[in-house]
Amino acid sequence: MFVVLFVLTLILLYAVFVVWAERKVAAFIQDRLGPMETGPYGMLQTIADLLKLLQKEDIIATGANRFLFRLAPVLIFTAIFAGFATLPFAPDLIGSSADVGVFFMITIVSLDVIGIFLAGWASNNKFSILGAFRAIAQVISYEIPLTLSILAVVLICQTLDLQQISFQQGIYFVNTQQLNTALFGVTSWGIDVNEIGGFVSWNAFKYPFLLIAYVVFFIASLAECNRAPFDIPEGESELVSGFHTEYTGFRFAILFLAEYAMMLLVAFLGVVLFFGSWNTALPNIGSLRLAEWTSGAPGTTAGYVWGLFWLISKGITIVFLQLVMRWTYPRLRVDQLMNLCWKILLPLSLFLVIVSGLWVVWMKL
Amino acid sequence: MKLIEVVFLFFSIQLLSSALVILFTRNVVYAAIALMSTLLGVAALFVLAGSDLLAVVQLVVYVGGVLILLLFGVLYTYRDPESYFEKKHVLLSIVTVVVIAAGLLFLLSDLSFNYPTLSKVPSDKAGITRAAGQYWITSKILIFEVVAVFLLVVLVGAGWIASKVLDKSKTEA
Repeated sequence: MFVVLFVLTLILLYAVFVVWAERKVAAFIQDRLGPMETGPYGMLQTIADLLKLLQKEDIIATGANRFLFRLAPVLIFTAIFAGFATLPFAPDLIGSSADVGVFFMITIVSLDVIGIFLAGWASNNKFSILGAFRAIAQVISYEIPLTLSILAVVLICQTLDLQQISFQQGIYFVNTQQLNTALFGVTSWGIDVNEIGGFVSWNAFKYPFLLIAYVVFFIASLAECNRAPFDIPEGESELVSGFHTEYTGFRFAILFLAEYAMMLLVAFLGVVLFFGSWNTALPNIGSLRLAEWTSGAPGTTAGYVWGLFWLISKGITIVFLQLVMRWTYPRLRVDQLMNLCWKILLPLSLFLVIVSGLWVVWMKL
Repeated sequence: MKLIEVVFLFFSIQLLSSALVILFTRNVVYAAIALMSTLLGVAALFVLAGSDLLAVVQLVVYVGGVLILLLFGVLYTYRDPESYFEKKHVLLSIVTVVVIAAGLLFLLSDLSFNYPTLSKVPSDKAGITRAAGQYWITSKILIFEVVAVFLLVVLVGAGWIASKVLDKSKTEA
């Protein structure tokens, strides 16, 4: 119950912050100032916008299917919110410690496609339905490289439980799985990465080819959240704003919130799988026990505080990267989008799955 | 009434009522949404029965796969959503339904159900996922591999067909 309230608060605070951050990032990239009037450096601009948005009239178009039109935003937000259930926030802080962790997450998040379909179809508007078309085609295509790149990590970690994957990347790992914890898998060096901790024990450093898997994961996850350069479902210069053209006021706010929550979720998932989850970034160097000083034992207050600090700061960094991407790259065309998915990312991710399989077989103890 | 019975009843009623909606609605999109609700209800019952893995597989295969394919079909053949249902073969459908229902009831009457105990720890910690994985990769390896190779062929084939179509459209233009 605590995790539910915690995640909801986190998403709301983050959304207020990130909408402002997006406008500032866009402004700086385009050599402008961005919002400056409301509060210091325009920081209260989002709150003012939200107050305005909530007062707006709730319009449902005459030709729309009222029931499905109302259902769609609820479905989209619920699907994405449920994805946070198996995400570990700190050593002891996780919604559900189910064994099927990451499998559940990618499944439940993919349900938001149904919500997008409903939003587009029920609006009874050709822009909306075209947006829904593109969104579904894009999301179900990019799910394949996304899932395969996750599979590469799962193969190596030999577990679907995200909490277990987190423990493997830090100094509190108890090796009950007979995993090879030597640096780069070379046991003769006698260096145990879990004793050093920090970035050395992160999956992306321990198994360097997983960095390529992360690139695949990052691109596919951008497409999954319909973010630029994959924002063709919304493509405001072609489709007004895609499947949410007809939405106003609070319903639009929910759709917007869901999109930003999805960005945060995939950023967190990437951090958990590749960049050490809630573990510290600083390694132990000789008598300088940086890793131990900057993390707390599981179950203690220090454990919660440091865990949340590291996970959230890493997640926010990835979100910042997503924002920069949006304002750097132009939007892809539909055929380029499908080309990238089926001809580049899919073979690459299949290759990575084979490499991880070979690694597991060769490098086992 | 124990809490687990309340939860079980809630999901059973949700499942059955949305199944009835599929039967009686004349709008194909309503039917699809009711189907989603039914499938989610089945997944919830799997969780109650202590198999998280089966619940998630249910979501992947039916909700994430079959249902989305169905919705995509509706999108592509966009027309009056009520015109999908035509009253043909009434007698045949009635016979089929009665036969299947009788068969299912006969099979189900043999089983006895127990409510599992509710706990904060997922029941799958007992290792059903692990055991199922090992079972597939040892005793049922042939079936597992055949399915895996089949899916890989489908993936590669999809890419191949897509590249053919693109080349063709380029030469025509």
